[in-house]
Amino acid sequence: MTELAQSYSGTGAPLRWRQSVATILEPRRQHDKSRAVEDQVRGLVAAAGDISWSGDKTRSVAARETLVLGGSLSVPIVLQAVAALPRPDVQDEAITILRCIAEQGAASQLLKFASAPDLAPPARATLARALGVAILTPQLVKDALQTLTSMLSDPSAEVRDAAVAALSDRGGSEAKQALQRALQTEKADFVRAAIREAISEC
Amino acid sequence: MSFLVRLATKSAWPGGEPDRERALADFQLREGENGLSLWEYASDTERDLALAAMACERIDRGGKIDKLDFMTIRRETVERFGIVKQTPGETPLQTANDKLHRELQWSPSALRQLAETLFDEQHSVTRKAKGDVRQLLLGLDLNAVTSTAVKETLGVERAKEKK
Repeated sequence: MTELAQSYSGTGAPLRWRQSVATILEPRRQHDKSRAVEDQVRGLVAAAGDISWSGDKTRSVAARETLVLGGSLSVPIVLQAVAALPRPDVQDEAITILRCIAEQGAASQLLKFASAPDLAPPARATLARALGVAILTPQLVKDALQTLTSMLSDPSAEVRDAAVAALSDRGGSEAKQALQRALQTEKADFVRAAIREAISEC
Repeated sequence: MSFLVRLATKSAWPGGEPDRERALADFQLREGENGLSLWEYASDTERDLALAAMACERIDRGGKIDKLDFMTIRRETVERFGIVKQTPGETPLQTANDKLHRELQWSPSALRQLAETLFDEQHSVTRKAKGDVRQLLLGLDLNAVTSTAVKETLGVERAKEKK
């Protein structure tokens, strides 16, 4: 496993990434629940997390694919990367990965993290945006709207701003009502402006 | 007079709920990155082209049309700390890549100094709303776009516009 993880930083890594995804992660996706496979997946996902935020675009793409296939195991790694370097482009990449993970059946994991109080604000903001754009089942949409609504009263303006954008992305009457309520209490001018804009789009 | 533009976090800078450390992250290099990417413009048309390039890159990387939060900085302010180098951009808008893309190939400490100064000088972040970004993208010539994903997205948006 260590050898595999180390191979990611060598020349020709993108190809090896894909091979690893095919040979190790695919069986997991076919419901192989053995401990050995699970450990291998964990190792791969951890190695992908180490390099997926690098400036090397080709390698980033391969790492991103691995993280998406890693499903719920990848969520903490992605969030950790955002907390370590919360640049807008890093957050954008994380939103894409988390959205794909949510759409592949791990949305409840995202919802769980979104409610974790010890998570850094940039990571919570990123989760909110992912929950705004992911295609979810009706029940999960309901849960996501509830979580996003509670994020409108987060102590961090960055998180509230992201929750506003996410509710605007989801749209609908429930989102609109939550935004209208938030407009009564929101103190930050730029978030208020975002709420007004979002209400007009819902 | 020309300006440099870069995506930034609205909440972190003056005008939001300023948080120095959080703001400085916008000017930090990723591991493996040689320089910090920015765009230079001397007119509103060029600024819009740069913003469109950033919006296209987001779509190309799996994202959607979204608001853009960006900081504009006078070129001379940046040049107080180092050289502004013209390099080819890597977005799906070739015209912008060739003409407007710049890089600050500086040490992390020089980039931090620049960011600290911008924060102390009360630089704020401007927001272009999602609807305005959409309009900006609808105005693009599709032949100038090199990404299939972006072309498809814009095709869908144009069809919506016609309805």
